[in-house]
Amino acid sequence: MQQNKNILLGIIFAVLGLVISLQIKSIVYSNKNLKSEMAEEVKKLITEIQKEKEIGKKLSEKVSENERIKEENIKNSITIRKDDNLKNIKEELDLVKMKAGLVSVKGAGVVVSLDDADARITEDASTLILHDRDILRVVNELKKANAQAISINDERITSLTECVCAGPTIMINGKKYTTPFVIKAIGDPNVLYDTVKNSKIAYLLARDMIKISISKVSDITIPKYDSIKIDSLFSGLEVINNEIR
Amino acid sequence: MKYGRNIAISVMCVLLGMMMAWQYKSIDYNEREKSLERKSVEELKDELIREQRNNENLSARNAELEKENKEYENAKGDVTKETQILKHELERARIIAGLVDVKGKGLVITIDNDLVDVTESNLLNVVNELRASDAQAISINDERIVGSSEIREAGRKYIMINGKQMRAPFVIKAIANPDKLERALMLLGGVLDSLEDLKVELRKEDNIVINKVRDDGSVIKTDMLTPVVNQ
Repeated sequence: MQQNKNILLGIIFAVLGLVISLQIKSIVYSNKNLKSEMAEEVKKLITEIQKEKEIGKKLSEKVSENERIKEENIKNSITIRKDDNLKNIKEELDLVKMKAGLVSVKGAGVVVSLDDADARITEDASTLILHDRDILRVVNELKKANAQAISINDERITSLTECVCAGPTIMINGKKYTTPFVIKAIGDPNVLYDTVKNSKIAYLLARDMIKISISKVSDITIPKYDSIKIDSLFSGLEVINNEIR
Repeated sequence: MKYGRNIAISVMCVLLGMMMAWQYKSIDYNEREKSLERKSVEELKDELIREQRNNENLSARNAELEKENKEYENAKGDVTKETQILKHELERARIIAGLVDVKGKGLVITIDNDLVDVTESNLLNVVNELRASDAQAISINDERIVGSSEIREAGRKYIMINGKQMRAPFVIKAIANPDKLERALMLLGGVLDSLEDLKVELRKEDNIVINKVRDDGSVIKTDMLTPVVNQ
């Protein structure tokens, strides 16, 4: 009996030893693999991204500087030459740019904030997350209420703006965004507010406990359309019946 | 004595059980961590490509602006040339605003009621998908879709677009690379899958004409907007 017990104890210790060695091996293995190879690559990628972002910042500055020069050139010409035709075209250009969303604008309106619901146990986890289609429908409600300018996370909504889900992020004007989403709209604040508040989509989102809040704001600034696609917009497109040609 | 031994063995067994559970969890965790790392590497690569593409576009835009500025400077004193440069810019702004008729290659999608009726969301999703595939111009039943175009269900059978009432079938025209458009729409789990209870027809065309938006102040309004300069 005494001997049996000793054997049993021996076996237990042997297994214990085995388990400890396995554990150590697993940790060492994962450390070697993760922390060296992967981390190295991650670090490299992050520095490269950082570099590209800096280049991008400088390029953006150059672009806006050149845009300023262009604007100034045109204004100078108009004052020096007093050419009515030139002046008229410039005025029309400013108006059309405003209609196209190519000018930053401000005015009164509403701000709608949307965010994922807090984690909870539900049958369908996808109801916790805000989807591209939800945002589309909220934006459509704002359009129904005659919003004159709309942006999602400061991306101006134009005739060409998409809003598609790309993994955990949502792509707007070719750029990726994550929650929370802030939708700004300029128009009649009361009409905008009531339309969104009483819409079916607001009801559905609130039911799923997606965080949605709407507030009237007297001074909203919405930036101009600044898509990275902007120069591919015209290839292969032929304009017909255009009187300015 | 015997009693003490039994306790010792029990304690050992409990310890062993805990160790094993910990071991199992740790291995599982390490595996998960690894796959997470792999995923974040993929995401970072994606981000890098996006930044690079963004910079390429910015350089192109900058080069074009510099060229325009130079042209403008060279044209100093030449009103006709200056007018021409402005007209070019005006034309481009009009295309983005949807204020001119345009023609090009693209796709015509016809959606009709079948088992169910076409809804507001159906049309919103299709239009969104077309935009995501870089459509340059879109219309539904010849109403040009611009930034402020709403799609509104009005009663059971009607849908209003740009303030105009229409009903199925809906003919959606889009100018863009037709193959790219078709691929994007046909994607598994994509937008066409969500239209399976409707009648849908796709047709590629070489000469699609898309009319301009009605510009009487009812679709595009700007009276409440104040331009902000230097932004």
